[in-house]
This record gives sequence, structure tokens and C-alpha cells, in this order.
Amino acid sequence: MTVIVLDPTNEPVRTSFKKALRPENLAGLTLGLIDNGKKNSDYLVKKIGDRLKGLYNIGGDILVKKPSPSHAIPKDSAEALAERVDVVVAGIGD
Amino acid sequence: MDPALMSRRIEVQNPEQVVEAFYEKGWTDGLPVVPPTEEKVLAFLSAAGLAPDEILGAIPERNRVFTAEKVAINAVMAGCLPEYFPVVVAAVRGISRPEFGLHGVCASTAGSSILMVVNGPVAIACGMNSGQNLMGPGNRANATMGRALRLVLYNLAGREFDRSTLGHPGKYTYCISENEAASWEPLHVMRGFQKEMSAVTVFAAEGPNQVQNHVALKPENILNTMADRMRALGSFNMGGDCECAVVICPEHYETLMKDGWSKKRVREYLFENACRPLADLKKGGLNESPLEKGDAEKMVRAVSSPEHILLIMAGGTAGRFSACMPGWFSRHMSKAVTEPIGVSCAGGT
Repeated sequence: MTVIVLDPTNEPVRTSFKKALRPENLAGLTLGLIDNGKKNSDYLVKKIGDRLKGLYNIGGDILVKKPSPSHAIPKDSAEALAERVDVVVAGIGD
Repeated sequence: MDPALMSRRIEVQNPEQVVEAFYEKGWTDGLPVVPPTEEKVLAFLSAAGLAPDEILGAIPERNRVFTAEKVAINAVMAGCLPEYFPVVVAAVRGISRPEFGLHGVCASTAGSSILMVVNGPVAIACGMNSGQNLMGPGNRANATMGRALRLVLYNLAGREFDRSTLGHPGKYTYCISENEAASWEPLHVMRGFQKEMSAVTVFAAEGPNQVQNHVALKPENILNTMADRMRALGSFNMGGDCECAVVICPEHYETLMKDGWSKKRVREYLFENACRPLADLKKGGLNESPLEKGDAEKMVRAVSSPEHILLIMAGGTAGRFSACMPGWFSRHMSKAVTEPIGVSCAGGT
């Protein structure tokens, strides 16, 4: 006798979003850095920022610290950062 | 209510093959599962008064949504009875609150598990164990409610995100209830609910750290032993700002109650005494800064407020073994949540 059972899994909800346009050249743009709050994350993103500045003549390195590594950056922080910078480096693991 | 279930149907030759097929697909926690048939899933939804497409929660960082139908399928697989389902539903709602920080809790290398503490009439109506072998096997309600939450995390939140270095056995199931026959206020009452209501508290925690003291007849001495475990260097309670769950066993409770110690007083005592000098953290390697003058007097607390101790009375009547369950990472990333149980089996709210 066959048995019919139900699939217990789901799939991520597909959402559409528009990617920001990628600049063709970083020279003269302002860089933003997002520190996720984990130990040494600030150190690492600053190092990356310094490297980018050295390589591409990119300006600024405005640093925003997330209140929690496992939560998304707060909307107001993201919007404020977007007003001040042209490109952002984010994403740190352990 | 629209009872139409939307999940994909899978046809197999017999119930034994369901178990093997689910193993092959990676849909279990490593143990066999109960085949989730449409009839069973509908019975679960009916017990909780839910439509299949009702959204119970989500994990937004992963774009994952927990519908009542999918949660019910996983609760059936865990071996729950329909009358347990409202507890599982409340737990899923609780872990989906933003302050619980579910993404970090179930991704972190720290490998915490979600402790469920069930309070109120529903715990008794479902036959939950609040006594002997509290954290151990043998009770269907405790075992399967906790297991259901784990299967939800694996099958609906994405098991590939679980990066635990070690994990702990509570990741199979970690669900208990409180002995409410005691004179102490139950946990859900301390957290703002009426005693006659039912509620589940979810808390991202380490495994239970057992604390034995068969000697002390003074309340302070029992609690000093507990405080010593709460301030262990290797837990997040000493490195961050975490909550901590504490289970006081009946024999320890009796000693405390002889001198009239309330839960409030116990929590305040533990708050004051679960601490150690900053110098200890430096000597113990948890802080690599050089020792400085005054470090021996600068105290670091296991919790930053008495209210951050989730205190319950439970366990077998024989033995002077209590336990503490240190929290995960930091209160800034995850806080315990107490969620009311909306529809329960006999007698609940």
C-alpha cells in the first residue's frame, strides 16, 4: 500500500531588488566601511579600506558599526551611509 | 479556514520507505521520523485553529518564512501529538521575534540550542515532565516539542547555515516545564503573564551545567556553589552581557524555602555573587591585556541584572543537583522571549 507524505522543506522567498549601479572607476569616489561588530572586524575592514585607497585613489573611509553581527544594518544607518558614500565594503565572518 | 495544503506530495511504497527516503533527502535530525501524511497535518492545524498559509514567523536574513502548514509537517515528523502543536507554534513565534536574533542563534559556531520552558496549564494537560530526569529522555511531550523546533530550523530555516563547532545534545531536543506546585512564582508570571495562562519561553543556551551540593544546609551556600558555576571563564556570561537560565532542584528549593527565600531574593543573590575580578579573566586567558593595578577589585558579573536570570524550580525529588544554562553571545544579539500559547489542549489559554 503506497503512502503519500508531504515535503517538509521550503524555499527562500524570492524577492526582487535592484542592484546599485557599479562604478566603472573608483578614483575620486568615497568609500564606506561596515564593521559588523565582531572582534577585529573594524581592524580588517580598515585594512581593506587602506588597500583600496592605495590601489585606486579612492577617498574617505567612513566607518559604520552594526549594533549586532547577526542582524542587518539598521535601515536609518544604511540610508545615512548611502547619502555619504559611493561604494561600501561589508561582510565579515569569523 | 482554507484547509488546502500546498506542499508537494511524495508517494512512497510503505511507511518504512518514508523514513529511508527522508534520510536520503537530508530531512531528518539523524533519527527516524513519523511520516507526515495530509490527515495528520490537518489534525495538527485544527488543534491550533490555524489556516495552512498562516505565517507564524520568519528568518528575514535568509528570506525564509515559517507557515503553519510547514511547521505542522515538521511537528508530525518529530512525533508530536496534535495537542502539543500550539506549544510548537508559540515557540516558533517566539524565536521569530526580532529580539531573539534567530539567524545568529542558529548559525553561530558557538552551537547554542534553543531551550524551551513551558509554563501554565498546557504543560500539565500535555503531560510534560517537570520532575525526575528533567533534561533526560522518556517523556513524549518534552522530547517531541523540542525536536519539532529543531526540525523546523533544519528544514525551514536552512540547515546549511548551522556552523556549530561542537553543538550539544540539546540540539536534538531541549524542552522542559517548571514544577508549578512550588510556592515560587512560575517563570511566565515573573515575565509578565497571568498564572492561569500558558506560555513558552525560548532561550538560546549552552547545555545544562549540573551543579551538585549535597552538603550545604544554608541557602547562601547552595547559591554560592551555583554562582561559582555561573561565573565560569569559558562561558559567554563572563565574556559578554548574557542572560543565564538556572534550574533549582526540589531538595535545594526546600532548603531555600525553609528560610523563606523567594525567587526574587535568589536572583538578587546570584546576581551579586556570580562575579569574579577582572584579574581572573586576565590570568585565565580570557582577556590578554596586561594586569593592571585595581584589576583584583574590578568585578565582572555573569549577568548585568537580576532580571537576566531565568529561574525555575524543576527536577526529581531526590538528589541535590541543580543546573545553570549559560546564554549565547550577548543580549544585544539575542534575548529570551516568552510567548503566550494561544490555543492549548484542555485547560490552557
